[in-house]
Amino acid sequence: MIHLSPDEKILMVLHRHWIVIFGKFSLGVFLLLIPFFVLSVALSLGEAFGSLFLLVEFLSVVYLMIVVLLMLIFWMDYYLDVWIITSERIIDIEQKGLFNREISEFTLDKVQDITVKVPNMMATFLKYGDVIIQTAGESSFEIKQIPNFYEAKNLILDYAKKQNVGAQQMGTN
Amino acid sequence: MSLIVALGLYVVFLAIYWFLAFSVLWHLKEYILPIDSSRWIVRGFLTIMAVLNIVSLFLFFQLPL
Repeated sequence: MIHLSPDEKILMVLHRHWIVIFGKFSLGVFLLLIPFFVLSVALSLGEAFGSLFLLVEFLSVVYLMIVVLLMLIFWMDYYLDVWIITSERIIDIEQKGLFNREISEFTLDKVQDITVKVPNMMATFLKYGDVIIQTAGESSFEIKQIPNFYEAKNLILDYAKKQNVGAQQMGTN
Repeated sequence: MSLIVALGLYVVFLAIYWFLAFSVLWHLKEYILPIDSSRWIVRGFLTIMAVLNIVSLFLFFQLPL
């Protein structure tokens, strides 16, 4: 679970653009249709197929169960790749497969510069892009294929500025 | 005899299947955010999986083993 400090609030939650899951789901839907085709062929064969029809029906349902589970795993992988921008930090949660997950975070006062990239024609039309954040610790964070990337960039810059101003005032007092 | 073997295989399949399904659900429950509609998507998937499971159970016991 994500624990927020008392003054901290979630400003933006970013998932990848829906086009990322659309390709995988299209494949899933195609795979879901195959047993219906097989069953219709088995039905048309009728008597020639005989008692094997029940077995084909059973195996088709088992196959459908597996495809639905695969689609749920695809969706989980998509949904759990998330970036949470709070008023104090950015949390990057990356789901890698079913049991492997990586969570990293950095405070907004560490943000040095932000680059926005629209990688190709499809990204231009569907309005998604990558945001690369350079932090003080030499590392960079990349938020890939997100919608609202300009808003995210502006929000991070605004709050990073506020954090830096706050830190400077604390230093002068 | 063939019924016992088939039943054994089917039970193993169901055990692995629901283990994977509940692993996914555990991840989602742990990290789901209360501010979106993803709960409904998960419920939709679960309903479809449960219905297919019941249908497969019904069909399994119809098989001429």
